[in-house]
Amino acid sequence: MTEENLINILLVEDDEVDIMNVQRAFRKNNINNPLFIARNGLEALEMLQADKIPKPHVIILDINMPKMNGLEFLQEVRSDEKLKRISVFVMTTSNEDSDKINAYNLNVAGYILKPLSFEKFIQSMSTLNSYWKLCERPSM
Amino acid sequence: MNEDRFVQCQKQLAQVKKEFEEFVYLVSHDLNAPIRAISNLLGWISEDLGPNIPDDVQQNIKLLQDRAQRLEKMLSAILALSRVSRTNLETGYIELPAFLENISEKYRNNNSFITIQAEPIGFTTYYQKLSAVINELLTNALKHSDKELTTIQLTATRVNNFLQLLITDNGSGFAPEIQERIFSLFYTARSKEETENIGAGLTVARSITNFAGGNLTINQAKAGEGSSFILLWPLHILETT
Ligand SMILES: [Mg+2]
Repeated sequence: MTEENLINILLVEDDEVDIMNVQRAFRKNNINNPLFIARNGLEALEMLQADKIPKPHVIILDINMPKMNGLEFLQEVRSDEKLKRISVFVMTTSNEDSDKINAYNLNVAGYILKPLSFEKFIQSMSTLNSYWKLCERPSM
Repeated sequence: MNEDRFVQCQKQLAQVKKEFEEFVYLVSHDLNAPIRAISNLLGWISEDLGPNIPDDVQQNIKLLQDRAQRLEKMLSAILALSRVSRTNLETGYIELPAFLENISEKYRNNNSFITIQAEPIGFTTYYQKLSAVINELLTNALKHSDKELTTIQLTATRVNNFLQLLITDNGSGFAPEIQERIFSLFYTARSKEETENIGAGLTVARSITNFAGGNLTINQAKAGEGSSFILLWPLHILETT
């Protein structure tokens, strides 16, 4: 991988408008990272395990979703030898401590509340982007 | 009623309360997503239309956005109410007057003058909850002020097993006939057109106080004299079930 390579991002989100929200924020802030989208945990897991998309460095994860919710998905990711190192940002409307504790127990890089801290999310994204450019990482 | 029956009733009551809180939480949480979507989409529509929107359309979009925002605020107030018994349950030792000084500091500016008179009292309590209530009372005093310089006096004394905190301001106060209503959910003293306020702060403050086993009331002689709130807060943590 060369330095110019942007990190791949997978967005796991069931709400169409929330997906548009992320896409618009990316466009507005000139974030040109490849963005892949899955509509629930199960779909995301299948995409990842069947190598349907290039392996993402970062996953943005909603919690409340049909079929497989965010925390269940996160559990699967953390117990998968090939996926467990991916940085995951939870982005949810749930302000419940239990969800936060469960998420951090599964090693998330951040927990972001929709929609108020969206600016913070964008900042984290660009920080993470430069961070990844600086860091050596195992070849995927 | 015999004792067994009484205990059983209490258990049932606790169960119903818990179910009610869960219901309120779920409803307000799930209604939030579509409202947020409406808000977002409106913003995008006006962004995408650019600067050449007819004035009346622009005005209607703005009104719609205001209403969506109000709805969002109302829902988060309901959420806050449903979470009173489940959040900020950490207990810790606090000392007066330092605790009051810390909270008041961020409300001090050129338009406000806050004085604190407190007996030295130290006790262990739900300090985040007490802080939330005091923050709300200060916010409330400043929000309703009609003076250029709002003065707020905090007086803390020990009354039996309670901390008694008096919060007195020099604002316009509340007319006697609305003094109890100001604690009702979504009651605002001014028209909702004129204020960003949705009328939930004091409701939440009282609900938190009740949870802790305290009491929050307003004590004011007549309209136009500034308001005085009396907060009674237990000096011991009560066993709640
Ligand atoms: Mg969702």
